[in-house]
Amino acid sequence: MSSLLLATLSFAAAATGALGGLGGAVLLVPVLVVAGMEPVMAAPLGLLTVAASSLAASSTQLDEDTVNHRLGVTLEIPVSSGAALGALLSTVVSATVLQWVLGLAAIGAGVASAVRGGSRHHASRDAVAKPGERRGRLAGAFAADHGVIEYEAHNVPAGVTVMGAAGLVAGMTGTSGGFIKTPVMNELMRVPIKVAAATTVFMVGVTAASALLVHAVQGRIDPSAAGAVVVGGLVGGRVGATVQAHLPPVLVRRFLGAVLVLVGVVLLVRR
Amino acid sequence: MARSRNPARRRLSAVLNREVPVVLALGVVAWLAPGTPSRVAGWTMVAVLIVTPVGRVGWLARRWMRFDPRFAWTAWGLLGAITAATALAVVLR
Repeated sequence: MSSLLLATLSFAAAATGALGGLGGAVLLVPVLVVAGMEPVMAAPLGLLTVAASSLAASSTQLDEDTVNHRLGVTLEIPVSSGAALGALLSTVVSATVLQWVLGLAAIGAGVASAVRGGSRHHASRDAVAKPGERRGRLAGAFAADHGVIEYEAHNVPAGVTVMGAAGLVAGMTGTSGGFIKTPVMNELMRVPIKVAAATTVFMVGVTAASALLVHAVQGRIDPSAAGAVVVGGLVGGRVGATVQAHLPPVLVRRFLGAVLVLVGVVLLVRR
Repeated sequence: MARSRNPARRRLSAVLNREVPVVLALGVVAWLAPGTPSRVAGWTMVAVLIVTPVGRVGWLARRWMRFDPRFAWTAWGLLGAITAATALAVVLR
């Protein structure tokens, strides 16, 4: 596959993914596989776009005090272990199995994107709380339009367990697993969506790094192709984020969800 | 955009913000340059994308050792898991 085509696909996937707030890899990797690339070679390219997107979004979320590092680090232990295990497994399982896992991941992401609600949260408002993390606890506060919102993570053992599965999928398929992490933090652990999304951005960078280390050690990264997908991903992510502000978010998420389900079904039925 | 009131977060944010154009420039060279410059730029870019989040966890671990040891050890545990996975990958290569 030519590097110009790779950059174009990465640009399109990142721009479309950013429109729906999903990130580009969950779209890029299935598209690369449908276009004929081996899943085991597409995975590190997807992870590189995840790492680059995470880097690009990090400073904004640090400035807004929405990322919770304690929560991210705690949940990232099973995720990174699962991601590294998934990257190792991807060399021993057959391409068909990888394609099935990728297809199911794409369908899962598509459904999650289509049915996801708006910016709801379960926290109470406290006008005197200071934004930031709380020492010694998986809790914090962030500034919203009408005051400071405090929150605390619940159901941590269940969250940690599901995160391990998210890491395994991420490592095997090269997607970020963010489509699992954000809903788990928001729905299961009752963390506000803004904090869950920002913490996911931090976590996917670490997940991608740990899986990329395994792929790099095993010689599965082509530096020229890596450059093409990272450039396409960074530029596409910026374009998508800019256009997103002018489009209805629910409609965009449903459209993107439908595209992902379609790509997932194609991956499941093709030989 | 609102700036965090935490000076350490502001410093980290500034560092990460400066890395984005560097990664973009390395990516362009890796993609468009021929031969050795492409390989060097590509691997440097990959190294930056790996070292940045792992280094961020290391920075948090060191910082938390002073006032939040429980989470500092959690962060060291995460770094240990990443190191163990990499070592396993080297062994199984």
